[in-house]
Amino acid sequence: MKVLVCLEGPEPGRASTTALALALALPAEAEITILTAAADDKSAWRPEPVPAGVTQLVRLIDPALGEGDFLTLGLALAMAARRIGAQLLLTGARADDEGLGAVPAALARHLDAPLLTRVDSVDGSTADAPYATIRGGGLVRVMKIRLPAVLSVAALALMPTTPPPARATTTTTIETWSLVDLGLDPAVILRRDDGLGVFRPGAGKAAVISSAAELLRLAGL
Amino acid sequence: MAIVVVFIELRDERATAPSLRALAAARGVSDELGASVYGLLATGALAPDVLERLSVELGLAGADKILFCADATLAAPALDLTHGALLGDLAERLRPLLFMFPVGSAGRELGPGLAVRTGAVYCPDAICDIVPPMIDQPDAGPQLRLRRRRAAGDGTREICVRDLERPVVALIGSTGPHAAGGREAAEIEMLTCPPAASVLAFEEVSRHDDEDTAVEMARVVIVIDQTSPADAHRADTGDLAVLAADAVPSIADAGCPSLVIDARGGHPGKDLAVPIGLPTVPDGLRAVVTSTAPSRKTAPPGQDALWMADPTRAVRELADALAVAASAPRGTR
Repeated sequence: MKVLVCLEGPEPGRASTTALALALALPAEAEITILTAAADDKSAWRPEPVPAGVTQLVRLIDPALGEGDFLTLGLALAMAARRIGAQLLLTGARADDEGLGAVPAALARHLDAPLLTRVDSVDGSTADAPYATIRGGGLVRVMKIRLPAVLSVAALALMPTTPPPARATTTTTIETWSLVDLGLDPAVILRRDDGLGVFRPGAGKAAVISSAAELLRLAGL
Repeated sequence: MAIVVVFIELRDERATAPSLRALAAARGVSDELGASVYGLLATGALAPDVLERLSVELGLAGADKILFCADATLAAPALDLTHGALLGDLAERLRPLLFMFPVGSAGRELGPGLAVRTGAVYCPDAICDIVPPMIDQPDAGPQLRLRRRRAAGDGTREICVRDLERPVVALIGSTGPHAAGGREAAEIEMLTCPPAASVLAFEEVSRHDDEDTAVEMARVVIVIDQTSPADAHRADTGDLAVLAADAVPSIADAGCPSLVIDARGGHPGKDLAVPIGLPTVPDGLRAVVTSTAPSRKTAPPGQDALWMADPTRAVRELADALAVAASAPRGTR
């Protein structure tokens, strides 16, 4: 099973690091690749050292990615995933800089693969059809997954408690790709800023409250 | 006429409180815009009396019409795989100005997929309101505005829907009233469910109740130190969810309360629960309880308020204040 973990840079957030930990906890047969995408080398994740057990680290770096929105980032990630031959894709929920959480859906759409969100854990003991635990609708459900599939890991999912299995891989191939390498014209990566709206800075100073009633009032409750 | 569609999430054949709040928010802005509000019920089969009760409940909350699609594939909690095609077809047919989801796991699951399918703007953890016309553009009419807090907590984003050339998919935060002067009963339109994928990519093999589910719908979340003896138990109610700091469930991320409080006491600024990802609405508060006089050290970045109180009594004081607020006559709160 080829597993791809998509991580944002320069520092992956909690959901993404949990996604990586879930991947590393998969059985030793799982072949794990990390994909990180950014506009420049400084913004892309550069782990030192690369986590043990990772076969391949792909750094997709292209200035055009700085102009892209979640739709076009999803397209670029999907093209890279195809080239890698990924079967099981793990991402962190809301891993984009705006915290929208729409990149996994865009990735799944462009990859034409089903999407499962709010994933708490992954059990890969049966390599061809792993299991994922998801929460939602008042239920905790265990789902058997037919590959390929995109799993979006919940931002507050717990780290796996079992240590990662020993893997035969001792070295990691590190590659840097551009959009052209994926057959993508950088000109198609266009940010549609209207979707983000206008930024209004916060007050930046905490109010001091003396009662619960005052707190509720300030929160509009 | 413009259309606003609100996805209705059901639990035990009843609309969730966030669904009713989303409907009320839709009603409020639609009255100003002259738009119609459609509630979307995508679910398993419902008995006629249940559907009739829902038509009244949702009508009172603000729906003009209920779009009802019943199918066995829609009976389980929403997945993009089972519900996504229906939502995409509906958006294509109705071309709504705004497609709203209430906070909760269904919106987090379905919202991004719908935005990607339709090329819509996606705006999670939002509140919506109406901006009056500019003085120099009196003929422009009122504008629908969506606001959300950036994940970094450094400010908000504002989107004026009229300025866009594409629809908006929004997740509406858990704030506002349950009802907004809707009609007595909403008209019901039956929808045909798109054919399910012949082979589902996900097969459910087991399920059990999620005991933490209240937190995704709560308007107030308070995180306490597990070692606090008095309140280190679950005291979840409809409005309030109490969580131990070392056991904040992942489902908490599905919510978007108006108030998130870190009441662990004694450790302000140290791995706070609030910054690790609990979203709040833009007009909401992120607060830290502290029993010591405020200084620069006790005002960690990203917090909006310091609540001077005894952390061990914070839950009780909060619950009492919520009860008082809930009993206050409408219009005085």
